[in-house]
Amino acid sequence: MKIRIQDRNLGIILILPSLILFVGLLLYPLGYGIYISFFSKHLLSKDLAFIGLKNYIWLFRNPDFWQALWHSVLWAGSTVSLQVILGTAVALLLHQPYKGRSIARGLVLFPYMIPIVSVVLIWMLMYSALYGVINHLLLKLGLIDSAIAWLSSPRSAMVSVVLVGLWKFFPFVVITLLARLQIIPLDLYEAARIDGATAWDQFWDITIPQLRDILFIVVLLRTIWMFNNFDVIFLLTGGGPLRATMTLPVMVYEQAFESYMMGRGSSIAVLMFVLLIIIMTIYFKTFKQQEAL
Amino acid sequence: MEMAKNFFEKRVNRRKFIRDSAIIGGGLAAMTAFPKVGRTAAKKLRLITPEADPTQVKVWREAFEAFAAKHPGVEVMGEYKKWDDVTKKLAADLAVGSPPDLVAGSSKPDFVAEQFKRGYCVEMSKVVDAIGRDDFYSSALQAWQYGGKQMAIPYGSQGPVLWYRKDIFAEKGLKPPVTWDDYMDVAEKTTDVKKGFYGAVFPYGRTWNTHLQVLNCIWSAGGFVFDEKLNVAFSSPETRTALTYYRDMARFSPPDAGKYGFRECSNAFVSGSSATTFYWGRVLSHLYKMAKDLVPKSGCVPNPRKKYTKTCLNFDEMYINKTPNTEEAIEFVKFFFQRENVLKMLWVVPGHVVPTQKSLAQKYLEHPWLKENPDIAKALAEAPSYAVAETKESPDHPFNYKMVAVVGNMVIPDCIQKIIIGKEPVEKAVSWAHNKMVELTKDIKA
Repeated sequence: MKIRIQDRNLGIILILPSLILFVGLLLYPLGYGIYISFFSKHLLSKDLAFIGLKNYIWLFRNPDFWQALWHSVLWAGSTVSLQVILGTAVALLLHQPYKGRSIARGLVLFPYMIPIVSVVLIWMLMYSALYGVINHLLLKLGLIDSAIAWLSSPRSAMVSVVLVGLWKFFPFVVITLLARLQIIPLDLYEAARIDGATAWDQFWDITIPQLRDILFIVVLLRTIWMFNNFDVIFLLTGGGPLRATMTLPVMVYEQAFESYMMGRGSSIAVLMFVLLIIIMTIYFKTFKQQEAL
Repeated sequence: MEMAKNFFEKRVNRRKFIRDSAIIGGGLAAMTAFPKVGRTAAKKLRLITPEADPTQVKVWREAFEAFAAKHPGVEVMGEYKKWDDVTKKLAADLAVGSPPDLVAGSSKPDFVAEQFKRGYCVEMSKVVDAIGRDDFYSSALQAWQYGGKQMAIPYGSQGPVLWYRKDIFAEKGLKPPVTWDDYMDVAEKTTDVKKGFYGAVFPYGRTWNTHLQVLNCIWSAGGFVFDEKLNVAFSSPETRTALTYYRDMARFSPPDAGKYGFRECSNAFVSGSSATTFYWGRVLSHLYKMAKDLVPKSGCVPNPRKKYTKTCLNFDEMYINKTPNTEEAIEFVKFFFQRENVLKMLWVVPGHVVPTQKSLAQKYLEHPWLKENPDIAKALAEAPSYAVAETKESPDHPFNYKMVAVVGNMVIPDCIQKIIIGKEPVEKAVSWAHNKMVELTKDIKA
């Protein structure tokens, strides 16, 4: 017996798995997270006690929250901008024809391919005061008198984690921009040269405008990812020393799994979500306005 | 195969392809959702442990295989975690309703009590009876009792000692330190910052090791975190004396000790970068495996004291969470506590933990590394005798169910970081920690 399915019904059937996944994996956890943020809930307890906005009030009155928010902005802002600058420079370099370019293109992807745990172990060893290569070189060169505690001094900890964040994630910018660079029509450059444009003019008036759309997406994605990034900072410093690298995702973990306060953890996560939506809305609007000009 | 062949030969229309893919996809999804359908599935027990040196992992695997051979249809799978992560992982697992069936070596009676009082764990008295109650040191069993009930069974106990370099001490005419003043003198004389060599390793990372080492100093000075009625007693002249000493000793420690946990403290000594370090017996096997030339040059003595020689007593224990596999988990515990299995686990890191079963006390000392180093073996074997559990700071203290909040929130490491890294006055930091402890523990009920 042949079962005939109408095209309309087939469409619904085909959408159904995605819909179930969307509700199950996105809407439900999101809704539950928002719901929990209005309750006092011990991680190990099944009991929920409704406390209204108390978690949010606690957060807004807590200087640790504002400090963590500032660190998150600093972390996301500095890593994304540095990734874009370095990524663009390396992409332009890898776009030039020279011997060994294919190998260089492969090698540049390495940091992005290495698992984060390995990256963190490598950098922790490099930063070590006892046997780290960075301190060793600086001592050898006579630039410092004694080893620097890169990750355990509040002054250097944020810079040190930003450096790891830059190294680990800039290849994403490279591969995305490189793909776009390869489809810029060469006759644009040729015409510019005929008109007497310098290399800088060509870069500024052809390359950058051509990269504009892809840079928009790259900045958007990387900002979301870096703002929500947990593993790099957690594994390198755990948010310390003295909360010098405490970002909002690490604070969520601290509240939920160290203080066992799920409600407070959820309220931070909800605020992060709201903040990202606000930032992205502003970003989209600004971009559209500039595009209209 | 036929489908693929037809597909590549373009004999399959789109509708048929989608239908067949849906059938295959649905079948795979069903197999994932109902793994027991259509095949004889082994019961899989999860065991989480931070006792995870590569050699320990090997012994765990051997134990799992031996158990599976005796209990067909039951498989034990090990999950190996870092010391500082284990309770967080367990808490997360409990929160989502999928706790591991077994936990080995958490060393956290406060955390286990938190689970036990909420009814997540199995009462182990009958298991102790089945293994042989009389064979256990009663103090070891008592350390894992909550409200008179046995929440876990310890298979090893340990106390930290001070490891020191005999050769460097001899070269400089120094004796192993007994008091805090001795130790400061020794640390000063052996530190050479320009050569990257340090006289001491006082960790002040936001880690459990920092918590324990600071606690050792507070107790040695005569202070407590809680009084006998479990009120916070952190702010005291003794605590301030201890933290002032800790701050001063940090000057002779590696500059990045502000990130140190357990491994880093051992590594500093084993890599030949420090003249001393506080650590447990694991240093002996680290020396044998990574710096054998340092074995004859190393020794250990009780921690230097202010008033008392009193350190943290820790245990490697085993407990069972209530899951559908509880019966099999109990069988595994009984199997593990067979003499030869416990001995194998203790011998894999000789000296790190000493047996809690009387029948193993002598046999345990027959390990070649312990026989070759009788002074070290003696110091390590004696260490638990002058140590107290952090959940029972003195014989007059009841079981401290509030300590879990202090440990989990890292209040003591935060306090010492404020003093050493933040350069805050000791009194201010101690007062901050005291108030924080009061706030964190005020709502905790027995």
